[in-house]
Amino acid sequence: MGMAVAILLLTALPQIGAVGRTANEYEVKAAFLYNFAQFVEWPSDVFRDSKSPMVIGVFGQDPFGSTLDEAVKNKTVNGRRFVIKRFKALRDIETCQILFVSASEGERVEKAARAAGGKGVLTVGESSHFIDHGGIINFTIDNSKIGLEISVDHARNASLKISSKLLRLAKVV
Amino acid sequence: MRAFRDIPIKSKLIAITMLVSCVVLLLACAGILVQESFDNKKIMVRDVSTQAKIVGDNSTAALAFFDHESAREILNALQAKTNIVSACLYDSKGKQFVRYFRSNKGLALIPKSPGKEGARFVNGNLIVFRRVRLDNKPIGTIYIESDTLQIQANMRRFVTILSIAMLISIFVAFLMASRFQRIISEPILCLAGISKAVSIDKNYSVRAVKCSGDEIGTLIDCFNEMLSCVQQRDAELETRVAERTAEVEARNKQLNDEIAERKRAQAALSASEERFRIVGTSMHDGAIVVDEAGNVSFWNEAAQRIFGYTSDEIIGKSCHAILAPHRFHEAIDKAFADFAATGSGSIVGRDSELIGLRKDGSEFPIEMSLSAVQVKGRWHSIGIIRDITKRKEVENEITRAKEAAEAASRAKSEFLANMSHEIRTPLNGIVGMTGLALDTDLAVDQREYLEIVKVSAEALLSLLNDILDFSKIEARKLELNPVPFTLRECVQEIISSLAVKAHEKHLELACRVMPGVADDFVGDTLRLRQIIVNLVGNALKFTDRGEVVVLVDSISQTESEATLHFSISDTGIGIPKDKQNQIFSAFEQGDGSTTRKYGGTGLGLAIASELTRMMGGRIWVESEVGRGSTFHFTVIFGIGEKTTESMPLELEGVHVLVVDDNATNRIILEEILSRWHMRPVLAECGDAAIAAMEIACQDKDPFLLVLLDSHMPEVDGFAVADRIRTNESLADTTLIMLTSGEHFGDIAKCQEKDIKCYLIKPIKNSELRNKITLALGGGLPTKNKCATTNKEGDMEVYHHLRILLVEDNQINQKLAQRLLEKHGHSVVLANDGRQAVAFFENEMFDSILMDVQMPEMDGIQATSAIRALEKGTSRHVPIVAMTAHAMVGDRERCLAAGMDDYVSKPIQPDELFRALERTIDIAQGNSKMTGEPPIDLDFALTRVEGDMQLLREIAGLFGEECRRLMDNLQSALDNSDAKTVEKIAHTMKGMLGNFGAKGAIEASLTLERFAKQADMEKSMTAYSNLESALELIRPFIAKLALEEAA
Repeated sequence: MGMAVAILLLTALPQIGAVGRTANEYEVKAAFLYNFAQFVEWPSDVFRDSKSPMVIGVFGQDPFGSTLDEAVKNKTVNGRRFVIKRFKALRDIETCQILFVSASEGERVEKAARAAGGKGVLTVGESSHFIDHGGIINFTIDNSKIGLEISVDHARNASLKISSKLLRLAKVV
Repeated sequence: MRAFRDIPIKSKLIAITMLVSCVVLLLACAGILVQESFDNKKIMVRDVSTQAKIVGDNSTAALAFFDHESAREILNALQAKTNIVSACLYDSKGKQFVRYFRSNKGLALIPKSPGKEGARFVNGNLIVFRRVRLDNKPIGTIYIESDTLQIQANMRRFVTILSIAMLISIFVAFLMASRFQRIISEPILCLAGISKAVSIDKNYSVRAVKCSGDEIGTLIDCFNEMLSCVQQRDAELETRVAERTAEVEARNKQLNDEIAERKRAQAALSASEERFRIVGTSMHDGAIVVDEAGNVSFWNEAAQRIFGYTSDEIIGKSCHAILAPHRFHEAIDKAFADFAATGSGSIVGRDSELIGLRKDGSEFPIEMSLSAVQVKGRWHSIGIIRDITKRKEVENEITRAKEAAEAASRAKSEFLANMSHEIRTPLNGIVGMTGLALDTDLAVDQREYLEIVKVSAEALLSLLNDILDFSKIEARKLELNPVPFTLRECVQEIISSLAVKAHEKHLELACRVMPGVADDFVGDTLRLRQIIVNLVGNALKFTDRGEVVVLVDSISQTESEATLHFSISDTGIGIPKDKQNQIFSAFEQGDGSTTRKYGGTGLGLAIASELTRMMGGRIWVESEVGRGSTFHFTVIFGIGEKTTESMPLELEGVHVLVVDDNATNRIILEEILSRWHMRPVLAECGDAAIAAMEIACQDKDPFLLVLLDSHMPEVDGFAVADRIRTNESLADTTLIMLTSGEHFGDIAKCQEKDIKCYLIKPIKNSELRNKITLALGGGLPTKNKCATTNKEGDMEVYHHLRILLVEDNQINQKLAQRLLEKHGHSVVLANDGRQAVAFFENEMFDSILMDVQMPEMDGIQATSAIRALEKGTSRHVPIVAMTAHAMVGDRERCLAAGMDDYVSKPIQPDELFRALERTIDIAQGNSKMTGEPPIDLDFALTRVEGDMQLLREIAGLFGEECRRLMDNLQSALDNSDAKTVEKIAHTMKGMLGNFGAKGAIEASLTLERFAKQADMEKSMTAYSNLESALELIRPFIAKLALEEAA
């Protein structure tokens, strides 16, 4: 199933800009979430041990459906499996390494990050002032193309090191 | 290469050095270049691979987030590298993600999809594929293609630098080579110069200068030495050449001489060839040469004369097809094929007599000597041919003449044999009848006349025999007939036959076979007898007193043959020296007067001489007039199978005294007695004998036996016997008298003096042995075999015999009949063989005297028939041949036919009776039919288990029973009742069986057989035979019965 998604993703890429906010948009975003895990370095103490899974949390309304689950299915990063957790309310948030904050909850990003563990949580959003509200990586749509905004300061605050290779692709704010 | 060899050594050295230098430099440069190029490529690969890695690493994020912009930026950074022609980033699916190229040309070269990871040079460019990995997972591939212009530029520069360096090196090398080659080349050039000088100027005195100690130095030394040698050799050669030149001149001269000689020889050869050709063509014999195909290739005039063909007519044509009669062609073709292959054949290399064919078709005998010649591997033949028609005629003439002569000779010899037979028959009559007449009462003068008649007739007979023998010898018709014999027995027998004659003249006749001479030989005893009889006869004839001694010794002996030496010595008149050689010639005698005084033909010695020669020996004489003669002869006999004489054990160790005045006799007796292991002592007179006996008696070793010679001077044998008998201590001694002649009353005297027996000298070994054994055994009947040599006693041993005389000649019939009847025998006459056989079938005879030459059926045939009839029965009637045949083989023919003995006509009574005696002995040995008591008492006793009483009772009954049966037989025969005859004969046979009366049993058996066949006539004869047989046994049986009565 993952393979099918990957194929779908790759073949769809040239048409990303024209897609708009559709189901395809979230398939790409789900793949991006997975890729972030590869270009971001977490402090070692966020994992209980070397086998502890990489937990991706989705806070607020879930725009991915099943696509996110499928994007990480059977995949690992540095030998860690992926676990997807969904939090409806703030009080539901548990410890996780990547926390996708849906557009509806963009303003409560800092609270959410604190709820998810404070340090060592990579927050990813898709609202226009997500960075301003303390988010680290924000998806933008620019000329029908999915772009990235990354706050190096927020990342540093969260004790995360973001690869220069990723930064080259993003708009650093 | 050729050119190189010829250039000066200096250039060679430089060239070699330069070549080596260049090759080394080039190889070194090439090595450096290869290394440089390799290094450049390696560096470039490393650089480009690094580039690819950097670009790839930088592109991971772009690939992960599908960011073309970023990726393109990264690739465009490659612009800084001028060598990069193109680059491309492929996504994880292998699709081109972004591309980079320096010019449009590069675009086309970018592969559509990524290749195998790694670096490789393609079309002069280096291409590198490298996987782009994220978290160890491939997410794409980077492709970079780089040109190699940089490398090429580098290499070019490098090559330029190397070339310059090389050129400089070569130049330096050339300078150095040019400089240093002199070290080697200069001494060689120097040496070459000198040798050139030597060879051109022939100046061997110059020497090269040695300037180093290396191989060239050695070379110079050797060269100098060689020059010295050459110089020396030169001098020697000079002298040699001078010598050789002289030699060659001499040889040339010689060759010239030889050539001249050859020319002369050639001329001679031509002349010889010419001569040969002339000989070939003009010779008297035909000469034909036949080539390998069988065609005539040479034909001379003589051949033309012989065969009638000219050489034109025959040359090149098949030789034998023309010259041999047609019937021989096949055989000749075959022989010629063999000849062509092998060069040999049955008529090659010798003279052969063949049949030739003339041109006119006539055949004629030729003699051809054929020789084979091989020319170029093919066989040719040369035939020398002679017409032998005339010679053949002469040969035939000679053959005819020879045959005629032989026929004449045969006729003569037959005539002689016949004549001899014809003369013998009447002579036989004269001798025999005279003998008979002499036995009758005659007036003194009548007896005297008749004695003369008898002697004359006998002389005539011996003359006849001699002439016959001599003629046979002359005609080479006398053949030897060797038979096995025992020497001593034979010689003694011959001598004893001559004893009478000796004793008549009161001569001692002694015979001595030397001890050590073997006894068993193979030889012709008849001829030996003839020689001995002749020589002894002569000796006796020419000796008036004294002795005749025959000595036999062995000269040499091999495994198969022995040479015996006989000598006959007499004490007679002797032969003068000048006559000694003549006497062995025919018709010669010692003296013309001798003939008148002693008679004789003079043939005897000639015959003896011939006979000894035939027997491989010779004869000679030693003689002194008045003292006597000794005749010697040698003969060769074959060695016979050894018949060992059984040693008379009973005689062993017996102490025996021999009393004889004759020394020879004493020695002979001593030898004989010693052979039997007796202990003989010799005494030469009566006195010595008595003395010896007394001494022996005292020594407690008395003589058991004394052999006494009856006639001794002073005291004769009988007187000595008297003295022995009257001497108490000696009276018991057994005496045997030996006498030299028969003296009236000798037998009576012997009996009177209790002399066991007497023997007439010369004594036969066997006889002596028998006598001694009998005498020592004691209790001899008065009439015993000791009298066998006594003429009167001879026949008394035997019963009167029934003899069948078979003889066609009436005179002989009468003579023999009278002679036999005079001795009490009954004679049945048969006129020929057929009659004889008929008689034999029907009657029983004790002996048959058979003439050999008879009409109808001769003696040989008759004998064969009789022996055939006897076959299967136990009968063997003795048959004695009487023959006037004096030819070789008669005796053998007679014996082969089954006869037992042989007497020659005219019949000498002695001989006849001796033969009868011998044959009867044989018959007794065979069947005991005659000469023995006709009944076998022992057998009869066994039948009754030893009950003498019973036997006597049977004997008592026999007479009457026998008469009764015979009467019955008679009447049955009269009635021709064969059945009854058979039955009675059978009964008779059984009765006779009780007494073992073999003769009678056989007679009854014969009767029974004939009766069974119902042959009454034969039965009658058998009956009469049975009757006479019964007649014979009746007295014995009667005696048996009488003993019972007593």
